[in-house]
Amino acid sequence: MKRFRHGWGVLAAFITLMLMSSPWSAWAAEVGVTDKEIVVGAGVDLTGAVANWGVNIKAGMEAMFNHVNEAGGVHGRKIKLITYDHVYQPPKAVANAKRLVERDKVFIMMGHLGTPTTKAVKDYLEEKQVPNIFPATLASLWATSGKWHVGDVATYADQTWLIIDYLVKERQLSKIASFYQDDEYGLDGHLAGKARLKHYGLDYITEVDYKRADIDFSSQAAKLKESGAEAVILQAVYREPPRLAEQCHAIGYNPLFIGPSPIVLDKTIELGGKHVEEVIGVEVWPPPTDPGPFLDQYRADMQKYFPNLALDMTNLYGYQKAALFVEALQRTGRDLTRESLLQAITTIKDWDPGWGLKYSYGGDERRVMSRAARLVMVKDGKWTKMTDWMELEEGGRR
Amino acid sequence: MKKGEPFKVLLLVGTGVSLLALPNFVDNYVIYIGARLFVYILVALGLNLLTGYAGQVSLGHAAFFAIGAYTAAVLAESLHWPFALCVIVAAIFTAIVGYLLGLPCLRLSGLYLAMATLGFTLIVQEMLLQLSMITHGSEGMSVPTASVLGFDFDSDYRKYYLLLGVTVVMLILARNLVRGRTGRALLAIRENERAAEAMGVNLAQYKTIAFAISALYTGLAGALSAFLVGFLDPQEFSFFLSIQFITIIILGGLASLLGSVLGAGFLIILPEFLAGLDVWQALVYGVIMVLTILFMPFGLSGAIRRYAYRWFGIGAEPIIPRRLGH
Amino acid sequence: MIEILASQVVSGLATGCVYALVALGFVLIFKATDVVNFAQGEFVMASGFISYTLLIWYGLPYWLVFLLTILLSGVMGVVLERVVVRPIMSAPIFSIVIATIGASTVMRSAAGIVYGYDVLPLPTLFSKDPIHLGILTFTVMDVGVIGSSIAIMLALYLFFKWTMTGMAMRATAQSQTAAQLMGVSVKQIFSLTWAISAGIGGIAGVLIAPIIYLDPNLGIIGIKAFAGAILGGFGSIPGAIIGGMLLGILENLSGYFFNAGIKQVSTYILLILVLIIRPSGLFGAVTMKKV
Repeated sequence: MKRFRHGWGVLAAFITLMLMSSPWSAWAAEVGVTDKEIVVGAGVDLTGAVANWGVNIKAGMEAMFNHVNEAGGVHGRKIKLITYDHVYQPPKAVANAKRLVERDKVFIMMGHLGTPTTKAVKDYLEEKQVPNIFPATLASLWATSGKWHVGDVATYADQTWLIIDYLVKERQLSKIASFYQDDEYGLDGHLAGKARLKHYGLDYITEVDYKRADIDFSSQAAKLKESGAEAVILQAVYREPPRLAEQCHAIGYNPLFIGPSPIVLDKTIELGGKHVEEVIGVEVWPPPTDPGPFLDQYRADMQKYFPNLALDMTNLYGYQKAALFVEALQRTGRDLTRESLLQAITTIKDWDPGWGLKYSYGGDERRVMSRAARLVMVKDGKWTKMTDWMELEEGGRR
Repeated sequence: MKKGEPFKVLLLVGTGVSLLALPNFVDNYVIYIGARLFVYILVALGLNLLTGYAGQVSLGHAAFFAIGAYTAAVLAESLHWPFALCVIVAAIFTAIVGYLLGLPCLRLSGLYLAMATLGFTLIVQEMLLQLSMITHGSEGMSVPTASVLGFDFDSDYRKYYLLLGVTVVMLILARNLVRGRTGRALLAIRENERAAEAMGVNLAQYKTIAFAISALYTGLAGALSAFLVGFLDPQEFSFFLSIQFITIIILGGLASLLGSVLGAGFLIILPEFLAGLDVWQALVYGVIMVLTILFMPFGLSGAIRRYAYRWFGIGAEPIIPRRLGH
Repeated sequence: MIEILASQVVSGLATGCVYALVALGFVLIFKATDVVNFAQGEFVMASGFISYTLLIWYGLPYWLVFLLTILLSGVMGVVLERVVVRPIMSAPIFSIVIATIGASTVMRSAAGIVYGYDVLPLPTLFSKDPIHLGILTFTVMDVGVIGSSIAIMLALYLFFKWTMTGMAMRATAQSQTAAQLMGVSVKQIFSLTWAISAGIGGIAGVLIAPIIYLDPNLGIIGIKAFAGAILGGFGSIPGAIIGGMLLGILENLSGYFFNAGIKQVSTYILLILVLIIRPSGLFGAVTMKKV
């Protein structure tokens, strides 16, 4: 009996403490927008399985926002970014989203990282009518989820269609295998590829999956070799291709490796060394080392605000998101509401921030801002251009 | 009245009133956290029954949580059963699974039991992914809104009160259980199985019942959580979650209902204070965890009982068994 | 087909040896102090990062890095024992376990703060080029890992059997009271046990990091090693070793025959089956407790 009662007392104390930390929210014409400030939220992974994406995307966005704020903000308003760590866990992502929307009263959710985590908050954001702008997941879902969601660059499905077309038409290959992460991320590209192969009357010669934290792919390598696949599509990130390539070579198997944008990082080469020579990837935005005024600005900002972070596709990804958002803000003007912002985004057409790539709103059925991509290959330890920028067809899973 | 009685009554009434009134004074986010807290209290109660009272280490409770959650969600989505029925059936189903798991585990103890239950967690997690026809696999599953007889629990405000009610009821049931014959039998089993058997305690029966009841509580919590959060993903029901559950009851205090409440509070509320720390959050949390256990090796409830006695003369000095080495 | 299976077994054995080393660390501490050290996996991770720092940031030669890493790991073990375990030595086992869990969280996040969560490659002495020997295909790396592991285990065996300290440790594991009566400083033995256990974890880290790349979440290997130790029988050192090796081989073989999900789960299904038949693991002794 005693223990029981003490429990309640302590519980009350805890909750009272929480009460005292509730912030006041300033009255505003639109949630998250005041005279001087725009509050933007992002749920990212800072310590979990895709932490290095989260840390870098956050840094990239912050660099751009700092740059803009120092120049006086957009139409007199500075941009404030609030991020919370969801450790790549959906329930945490939901809790963080509630915190951002109901406590911090953010204007929009931007750059939300992770496919399962963003899916978890999708219904909630729609219910609360909070725009989900340029989430950091290239799943094809966001392009077709209706008015509250807008993606930025070409999806995994789009890219895999490009890969299949290249393999079948350019390289005349028919024995194509798929190596994919067995979760929603890997499945997006994997299933899209299957659909595209059907178009050619083909199917994967073998499908081999792996779990995200897996370290050893010798059995996968063995299965791939046995199947006689000439090309292996890698629905993976930068960690797996080096290891898989290594283990395939160790058993005397040398297929063509090709995969979508997440594998196109310097990290892949750093980890894989000579084993990743001639691996082909898809780039959906220019690399941090390309010339041009936008990238010069990016390099300068990163140097200024995050000198300890290496220039990388991951923080450039965040940076370009923020730049796109700022452009949309510019177009919306001083009368800023969620509706007006979404409307402004649809007006963006052929906008080049200064790197040769243009953003255009894809239409209500294809809510992404860019379908550009090009193929690159690892040559002499560097990702090298293979083709020019192409406009991708919309890839789907059917 | 005994010494300390008025104090305790005041505390209980105060807490009850605060909890009931709370949602009217704070923002929605706090209400949501409160609701999640109740879910974890339910889990902690269940796990404590099995591991704290009966002494059977279980790292399998993430699986029970998952089974409760998915069963309820699937029943709601595919069969369109009413919310209350889904939750009740889910809880009972989980209890049955718990009973069945308890059977092979009768022969196991300590580390081996921990490992077997851990294996159970991993197997269930994988099955959730493989049975994607029902569970939507890695895509995740949305859960429809709960409603009872037309009354929709579509806001966190309403869910909070629902969970508060359920938790209070289950807490009272648990209290009666541990104070009664079953509770004593379980404690006897924990202390010394042979002796308990010699005294007439049917080991097999009580151990499996403990598994079943424990699974019931956890399955119930899982089912309610599914409706609270609204989205299920197999990834969350990992062995890390099982470890978190065990951490709750140890930090809170084993074999203590108060401990279950406090431990759940620690796990849910403390990170909220640390949320602003970004990457330092996990580090600080770990340090606090270590310091807590160093200073309060019998958990928060153990420390509270000790100091309630020493400072206020309430209750009795808890007898602390010391490990003397072998 | 046979060649593929054979090479699977060899590379499985290599990973299995690393599991065995980590499992050994678990069992040593358990036998001496009844404590399950949940931070064992983090010892492996930390040593990987230590060797990375020494090798890359300070540019020291391999052999020196190897020795220093083991030394520093040992120190880490002693520090953990003194700070986190010793103060609550007489508390219930569960509490000590939680303390080690807390410690592992701290270690993991500290590594994340210092090194970031990006994956780091660790260069290695052993090349990963394939060698063909009859039906077997393996790499120098595999041989290196298996060889080093066996060498360490042999060294430990000799240590326990023939040195005074080793005997003192065995005595303490059997009965602390009796050992104390024989003049053994039990406290020192505890520290030494943790130091050796952490040191073994250190070696495991140096061996495995080049294979799987370094990142703060590497400690998860501890759970697999733990499963291996249970499989073989937690109270027995040879059991832990064989369990670890079996686990590595089994994982690889089931990965070949089934898909990734089943691979992970098959080991646990096997574990449960084994435990049902032999509740103390394959080689574990059934302990008798005086009532």
